[in-house]
Amino acid sequence: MSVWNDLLFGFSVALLPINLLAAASGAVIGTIVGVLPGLGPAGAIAVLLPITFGIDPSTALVLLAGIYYGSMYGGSITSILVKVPGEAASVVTTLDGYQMARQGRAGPALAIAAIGSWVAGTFGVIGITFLAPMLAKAALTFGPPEYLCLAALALLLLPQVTGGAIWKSYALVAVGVLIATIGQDPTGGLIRFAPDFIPPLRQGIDFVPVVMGLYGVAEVLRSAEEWIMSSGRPEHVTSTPKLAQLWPSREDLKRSAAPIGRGTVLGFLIGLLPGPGNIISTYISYGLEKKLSKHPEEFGKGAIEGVAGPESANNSATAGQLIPLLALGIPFSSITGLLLGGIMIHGIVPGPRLIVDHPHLFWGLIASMYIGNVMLLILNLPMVGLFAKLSLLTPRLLTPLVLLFCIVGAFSINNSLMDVWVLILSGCVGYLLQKAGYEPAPLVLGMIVGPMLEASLTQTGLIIEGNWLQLFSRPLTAIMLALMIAVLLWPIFTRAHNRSKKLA
Amino acid sequence: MKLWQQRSVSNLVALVQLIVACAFMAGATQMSFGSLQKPGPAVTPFIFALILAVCSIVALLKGPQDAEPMPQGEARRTVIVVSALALSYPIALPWLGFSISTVLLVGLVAYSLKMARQQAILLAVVSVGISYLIFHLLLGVPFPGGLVGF
Repeated sequence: MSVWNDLLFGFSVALLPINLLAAASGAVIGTIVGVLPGLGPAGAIAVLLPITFGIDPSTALVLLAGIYYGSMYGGSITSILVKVPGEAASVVTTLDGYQMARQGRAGPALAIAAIGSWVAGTFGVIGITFLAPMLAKAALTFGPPEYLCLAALALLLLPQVTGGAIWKSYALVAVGVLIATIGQDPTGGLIRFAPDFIPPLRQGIDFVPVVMGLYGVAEVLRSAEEWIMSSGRPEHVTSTPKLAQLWPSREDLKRSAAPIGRGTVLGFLIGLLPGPGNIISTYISYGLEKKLSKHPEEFGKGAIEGVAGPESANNSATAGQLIPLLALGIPFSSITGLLLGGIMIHGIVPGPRLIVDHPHLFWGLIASMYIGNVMLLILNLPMVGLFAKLSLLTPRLLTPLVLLFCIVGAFSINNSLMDVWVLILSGCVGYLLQKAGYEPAPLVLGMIVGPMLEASLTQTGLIIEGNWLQLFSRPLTAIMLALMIAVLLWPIFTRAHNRSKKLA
Repeated sequence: MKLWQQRSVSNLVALVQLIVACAFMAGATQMSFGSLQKPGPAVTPFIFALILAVCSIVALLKGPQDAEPMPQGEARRTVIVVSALALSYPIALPWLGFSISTVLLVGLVAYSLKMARQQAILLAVVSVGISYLIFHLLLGVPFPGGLVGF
């Protein structure tokens, strides 16, 4: 019963005019971000973080989360109409969505994508409503040893699933933690790694300009490169459907129902795991639908199941990813790391006490997500033509504006030139990292989780009086340590297994 | 040619990481490692610098896995110009002030992306003007005035 009371309280927060405006703005900005190729949701949230300084934390979180789930809706529009996915989670939608558009069935494709997104988004929020408080309640019993193991587990797990070479991901986790150690030591107060000739380093390096640089400025350089390489040719939009042409046929709805259901559940479960669940879930959902289909030969040629499943999966995964963030204060992906940054810049300590200490923030966000999902459904279908035209805005117009936003945002964090330096240098480094095949998410995770790991390391040492083997005798830490060992041994096991398979 | 470029950017990143790792390890050895009961401020940076060093050496040995070739010709020139403009910005900001240095940055970046000169100037003046209005006049962000005062 108390969940319903809490949810009602959340609606009383979410229905405040300022929060309704924030949810609507987040949904629209998110859709635009999803539509525009180049600047993904991570970049947009990073760029807009400083703007949220001056507003109430719950309003800020409603806005930032709106951008996140709004971008999942928006990504499908250009995937279907232009064959240009606005963000990575919509790549799979291009396979069948664009083929449907070419066959003159863009309307049903867009409608099914929107309906699937709404169903999955709402299911995901229901999941958060019930699961996050339960998980947070369990985590309230966590002491420093459990936090130490949880932080170490997060740092170990994410690089395993971000894709690409594992040593590159671990290198960036280490870089993130090392950046976080610059400045004052959290327990003893000693100033570390701050040379006398750069006095501002004594305050440490702020997380926000680093992330804005890695996702915003690096994307500016990448867009500049791609724009020149494409010789300035804008994409071509297939004709956008009128509102009356959007409604799918009974057959479309019948064929989409089961993929939407499966994509929703699958996406939510994958979202709970570390890594970019919203992207991974789309590929798994597409593969699953193709396998289960009676007409697998239609996939890639305009099968509506190929739109319904992945579009539902990425939206429920987005909601699923918020559970470890809100219940434990641990971000399992770069975007949830940025949302965490959005909470931390207001001086709020994330963790299991967030729901108890800041109920307006948690329940307000949950209620706003129910409202935001409905807003997206209502807004997106009639405005689909306008959003599709936005994708034609060329990088030569957007790139300088993103750079301007980043600079103004970075400066306004602490009114400091140092943050502008950090922003620009992070951007140049981020561009080189991308070129060398590094995905920046582990660096973000390292910067966020590093200080928590270091603080709990010292506290744990004191609690267990230096007997580190005690960690194996506490049930939760023992389970997490076993998981860590499994994570470390897994690649060795799979390599040995593959080798023996080859020999056989 | 492509493989050589991929290798060079991959090696450059790995080498810089190795240098950073050595610097942090050297810095950490100047601090206390504490005891098993109370780990000192050197422990975390030393452990993670060691991890970084090992990963960088592996990256150097494994070569350009997942790396992309660096841009060539005009695309490379544009990336270098935009990077140079961005890196010059924090140097120019205290001298020229927010308005002039940011108008120059936005305008020149737009121009380097082949926007017509008049359009680039218009974009720069309007976008910086709106930012100044919102952030400085409305939100009170004290942008550096520079020698001209705005």
